[in-house]
Amino acid sequence: MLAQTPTTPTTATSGLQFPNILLALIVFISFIGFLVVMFLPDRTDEERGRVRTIGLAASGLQFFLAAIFGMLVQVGLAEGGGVSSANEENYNWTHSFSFTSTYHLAADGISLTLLVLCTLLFVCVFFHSWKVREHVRLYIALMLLLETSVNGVLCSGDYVLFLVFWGMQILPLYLMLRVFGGPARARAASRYLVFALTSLGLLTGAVILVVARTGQHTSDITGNFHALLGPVQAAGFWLSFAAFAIAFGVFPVHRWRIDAQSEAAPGVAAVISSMVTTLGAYGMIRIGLGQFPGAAHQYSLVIVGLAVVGAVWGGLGALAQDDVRRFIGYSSLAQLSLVLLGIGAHTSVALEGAVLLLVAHGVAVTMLTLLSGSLEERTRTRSLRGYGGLVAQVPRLAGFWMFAVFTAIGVPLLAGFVAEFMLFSGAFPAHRIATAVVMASLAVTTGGLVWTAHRIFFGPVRETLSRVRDVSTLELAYLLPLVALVLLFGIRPGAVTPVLTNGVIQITTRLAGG
Amino acid sequence: MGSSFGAALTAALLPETLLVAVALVCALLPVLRPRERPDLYRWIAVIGLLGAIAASGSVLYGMRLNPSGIAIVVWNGGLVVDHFSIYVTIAACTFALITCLVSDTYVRRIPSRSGGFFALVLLVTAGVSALAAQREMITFFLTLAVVSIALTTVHALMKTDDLAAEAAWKHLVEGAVAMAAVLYGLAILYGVTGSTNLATVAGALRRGPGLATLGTALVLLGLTFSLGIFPLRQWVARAGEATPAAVAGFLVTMGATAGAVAWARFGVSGLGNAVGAWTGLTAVVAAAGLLDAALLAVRETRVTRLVGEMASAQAALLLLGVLSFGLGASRVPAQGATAFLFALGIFGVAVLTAFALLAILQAARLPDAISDYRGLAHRSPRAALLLAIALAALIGAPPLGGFIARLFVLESAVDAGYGWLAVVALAASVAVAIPVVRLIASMFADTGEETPFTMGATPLLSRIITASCCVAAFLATVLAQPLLMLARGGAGPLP
Repeated sequence: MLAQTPTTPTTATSGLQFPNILLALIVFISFIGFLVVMFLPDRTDEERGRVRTIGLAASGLQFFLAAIFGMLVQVGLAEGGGVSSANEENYNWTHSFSFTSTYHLAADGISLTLLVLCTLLFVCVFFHSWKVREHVRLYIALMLLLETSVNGVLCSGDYVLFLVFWGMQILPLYLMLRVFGGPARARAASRYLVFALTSLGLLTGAVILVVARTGQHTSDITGNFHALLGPVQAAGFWLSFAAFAIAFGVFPVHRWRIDAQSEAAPGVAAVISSMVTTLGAYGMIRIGLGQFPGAAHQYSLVIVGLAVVGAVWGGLGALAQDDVRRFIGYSSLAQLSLVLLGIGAHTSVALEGAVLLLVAHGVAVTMLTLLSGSLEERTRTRSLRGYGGLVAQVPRLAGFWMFAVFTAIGVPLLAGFVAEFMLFSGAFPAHRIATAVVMASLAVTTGGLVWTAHRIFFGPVRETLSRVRDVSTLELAYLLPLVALVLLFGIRPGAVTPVLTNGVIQITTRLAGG
Repeated sequence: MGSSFGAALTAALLPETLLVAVALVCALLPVLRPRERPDLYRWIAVIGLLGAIAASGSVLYGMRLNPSGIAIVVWNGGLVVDHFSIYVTIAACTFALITCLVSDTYVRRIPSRSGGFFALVLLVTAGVSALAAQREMITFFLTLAVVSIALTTVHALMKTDDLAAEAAWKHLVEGAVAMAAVLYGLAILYGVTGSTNLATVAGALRRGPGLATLGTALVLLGLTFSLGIFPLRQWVARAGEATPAAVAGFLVTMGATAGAVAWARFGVSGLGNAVGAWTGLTAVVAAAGLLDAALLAVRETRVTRLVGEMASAQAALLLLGVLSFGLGASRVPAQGATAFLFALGIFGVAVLTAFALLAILQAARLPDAISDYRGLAHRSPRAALLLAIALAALIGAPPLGGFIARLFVLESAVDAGYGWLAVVALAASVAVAIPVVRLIASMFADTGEETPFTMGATPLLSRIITASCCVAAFLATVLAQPLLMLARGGAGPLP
């Protein structure tokens, strides 16, 4: 039923021919896994293990394909190729309506970088699923469905397809929040549901407005939508910006994310704080900036203003927290406000920095969330007052925690450093005062992160925490890949930035009116 | 010439004729052979419905070289068999077919009246099909009244149940008020124009705009009853609560189909652009219907009533498609009629599927309160999964077909200049989705009554059909293009 469009799928990289189902595999393997898992029993330990293994295998395969794809793209770039998208699948979906929709999957530098990040994070979350004891089949099935949705959003080249994948994440995430987590999870889930549905509604409104009013009769994202008239472009920009800001969890719509971060099970909280926020930022870049460049330029001061307030709010809010998860949530808010600053700066360097910071933030917050879950599991407390002097008993756990903190605050040779350096050097010429304020607030966040690490791991040992075991082999299995990714991005940023530049350049060209 | 016209007329009206004939067989056979198995009538009805679909297909095949999309016009344009009416016939037959195949448990409760039940199902289907071809006031009203009375009779078949009997009585009273409103409205329009042909009425209405507006408002008020939207919508929730779910699904779906089709014929084919009042009134009614359904859904405590509220919201949403029949912002058609027919098909199947699932759970003796559904997934994972899909399809959750249908309807509304109405519809859709998603979560997350149950009380065929409808909800997104093509063909001759 999906007829191929006259424009044949393109392989942009010179000399390298990728199979045209590669992106479909990266998106839909987890969906196949979901269908398989739904029909498997999970009564015994053996059956539960089988379900987890299928989830991990599906996710691992997707990461493998995304990584191979990324490496091949890089080789292609080195050979002089690389245009708009590294690989595309483009087929007619509907053409009997007032606009044409296509099944259009594409991955340029931005989406490919984030795709590698998200698929790796999902692998880690699936490793972590061995700690989930109840409703294992439901957990794995929903996580697989969520991975399809996340990868689908990152690869969508059509508005309708983008909306379908965007909306697909709501039900699984809500169910996971509702089923797995702390005592106040129902309230956190309800809050998430209201925000998520509002986000979907706003985004649907933006898409409908643009498709109906542009006169292009297509919903393909590569359409020439940035030629929209002023009021329509402004309305489309604000609708989409509000939708993505909710998912991004930036100030002032951050409460749902802090609550979810605090109440969800560690695996689910990691997905929310890293991947859902990443999708929000991706949407802002891809659609907010890419499709409405005029309005984005006109209202850049508002975006930067939100970034400044969010950075200060997040930094100060983190200092006021006693719950370790809420502390991570507020620190994350401060970090993501830096990304918002990069998005508002409208320069290539700042945008590249923003995407790299998304990677660094995603890894750091995932590590911190999973490690906080491990700490809670061992100490039965999440109160920062309840911790102290743990380094002697859990040296490896403390080491991973410090590594995540260093990644988040941008220590040299780690991904965060490169990201923040590029972001600030790109944003400073455009918004000097705002950048200075954000940098100052970053110092507060950094202080908070280091002080909290000190409170947890150093100082006098508490009697109640005298027998705490260190990280297990299972925990090593999901922490080490994250460390490797941070080191790769930190030590060899040159291996990533050409791919990233390839995607960012299109956005900045549009912003510059080219 | 005459014989060729007669043959064409016979062929064009064959689906309705077949349905009425098979309905008569189902109604008379129990009198002649009272000891036949109830199942027999179901299979006779199924054969009749399949025959009607095949007959519609043959009419379409005969029209393949006809660019106008009109098969035959008789009685000075009073009866028009065209692509629109054929599409509606196929859709109505499909809805009836699903009802016949999932209504075993209901039929077992009324073995002596099963022939009558299937006869009424076929009569309603024939009525809806005929309604789609009407452009003449008298036959328009008569067909609408036949559908309304037949639906009320289906409602009243469970006469041993006090709640059902009371609900059927109230349905009858509401229906009488609605039919009276339609009749008064049509009488006023006739008085102003001197014609009973809707096409002629539109041309002549410029003479008395005030009275024309009053007449139009009365007709539309009456049609809100069939459609099941505010203000004459109380029967929808009552049907869900008091009638077995499989039958409630049929009542709500066929009522909405009849109402929507009548609205499209009266407004788009009849009044068109000549009487602007109907578009304004329709927009107000649609907005009120959406908000009313959303507000009631949020407070609902019973599952069948909640599904009824969602069906009501869907029906109100269909009016956005009816409104957007004209040109869009870029001076090309907004394709509202295409979106309307596409959504009609998707919504109809979604409502029937949800009620069919509830029928399976009713057969397993599960009470109707939302709190009784807590922990359903722990007792019957399959039932919970299927119900979750059916409910998600009903609220238009991606990637199910309801989402695409909503998107098309809203896009055509914005394109046609009804942006504010699209905003209301989006807000109402979000509001309706919240209680439903909470219900789904409660089925999976909470722990309630832990006694397991199976879906075995419902025959295998019904379960297969219901599960297939759930799969179809997903396939409707993947295979949107063929469905859209059908809908576009059907929408062609509507304006």
